[in-house]
Amino acid sequence: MSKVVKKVGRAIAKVVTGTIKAVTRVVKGVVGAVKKFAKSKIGKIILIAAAVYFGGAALMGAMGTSGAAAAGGLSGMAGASANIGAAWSSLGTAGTALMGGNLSGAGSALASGFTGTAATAGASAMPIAAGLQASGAITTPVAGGAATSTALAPLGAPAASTAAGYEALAGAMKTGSYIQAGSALVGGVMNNSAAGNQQEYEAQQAQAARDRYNQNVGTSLWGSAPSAGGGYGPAPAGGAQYDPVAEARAIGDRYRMEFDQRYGGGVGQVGMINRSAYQNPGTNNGFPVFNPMTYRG
Amino acid sequence: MAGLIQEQMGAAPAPGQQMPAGEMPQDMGMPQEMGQMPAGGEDGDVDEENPAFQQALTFAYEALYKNQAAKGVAQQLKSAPSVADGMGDIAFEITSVVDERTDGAVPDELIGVLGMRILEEVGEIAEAAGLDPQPEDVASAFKNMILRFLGEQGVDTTQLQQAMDEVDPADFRKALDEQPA
Repeated sequence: MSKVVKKVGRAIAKVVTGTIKAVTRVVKGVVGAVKKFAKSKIGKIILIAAAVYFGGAALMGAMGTSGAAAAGGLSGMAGASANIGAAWSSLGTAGTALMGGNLSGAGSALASGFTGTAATAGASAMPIAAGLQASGAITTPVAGGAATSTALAPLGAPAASTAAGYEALAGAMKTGSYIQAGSALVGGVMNNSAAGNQQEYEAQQAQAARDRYNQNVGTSLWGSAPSAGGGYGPAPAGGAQYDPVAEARAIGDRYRMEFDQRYGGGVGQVGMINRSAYQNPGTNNGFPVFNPMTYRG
Repeated sequence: MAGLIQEQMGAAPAPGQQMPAGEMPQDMGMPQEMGQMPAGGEDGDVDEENPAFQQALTFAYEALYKNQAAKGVAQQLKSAPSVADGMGDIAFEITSVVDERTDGAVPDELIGVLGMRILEEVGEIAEAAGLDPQPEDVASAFKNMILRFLGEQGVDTTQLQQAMDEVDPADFRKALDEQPA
């Protein structure tokens, strides 16, 4: 089985970890391949795609002859190499957002890689990123002096000292607000989901109670008409098959039979309480017979 | 597709058999630059000189070119709904099969690179087959392949795909045109 497939179970079991591994696993290599790729046209396109989707505008600019790479005295593949860190940073943003379950944030970070903050600010990504560096919003420049993704720019950075800095800060703040909004959205969705689950459970319980009531209400457990044996008629369909009168008669018969057997009598024979003997107690076994039917005290 | 590739790869060397990069057959139709493996390792985490990676790559090349799987790939591409979808799916399938046949020896961090390499070959095959894949097609294929990688690992790619879809395909062509020849 392919490793890709084999890891499905683990990824599901550890969603968060799996997500991080998934993104890291695929894209880590993608970024690392930058230097050795892109000799053929197809390879260049793949590299561009990797840069766009995972590296963000920083790497895109480095791949060209303009942007921060050029500003930093780098161009072409040298610029690309210099900006691998930027790509990784942008990817890290996506990974971090995914780690927190903030897919919206990840989406924003990826989307801003090509057309996000740069397009919003009405300028290319590289001057913005460079401006961020100039403004101090980015405090850790990556290799080659290339700018990192604006998605990672810390908010609340020192006031921009240049127009580009203001512009960049606005872009970064907007990106940050995207992520915050995404986080709030996901949090709200999760809360709504939990509340919805509780409501659904309660509704199921209420429905079950209604079903039980509707099934039992109005049900006659015993027939309303007396039966020939003194009990009540057969229970209607669904009712309990139980006749208390018949049950009482059966118990009485059993007690009488046991009594007769114990004292030598039996059903159908002359006994202490054999009805046939009540008329002539003297014919009994010679013992004095107590006949409750004739006893007057 | 996986079955086709599996079948073609049946004649490829067993995973345990390591073929030195220098002894790679020249009749494989492999681009020259791919045969000359770069002296990598300078980028730390991603080392394309990794023996398992090299073995997997060799395995893929042999299956594609020596064992004639490239013809099947070309046919599959021609019958695919779109070149982009076909390339992405085929590259993913080949990568998965190669990973499987090499007992998952390729390091995690090189799986993506392996997929890119294989996608590049599939793109070359598409070009050779006269399908003339456009930059946006290749980019879309790459996107599909990445999404399948993540999807196969149980990741919900819905929002990721939405974010990727926001990129204008025309930008890829523009970016390519800006590249130095």
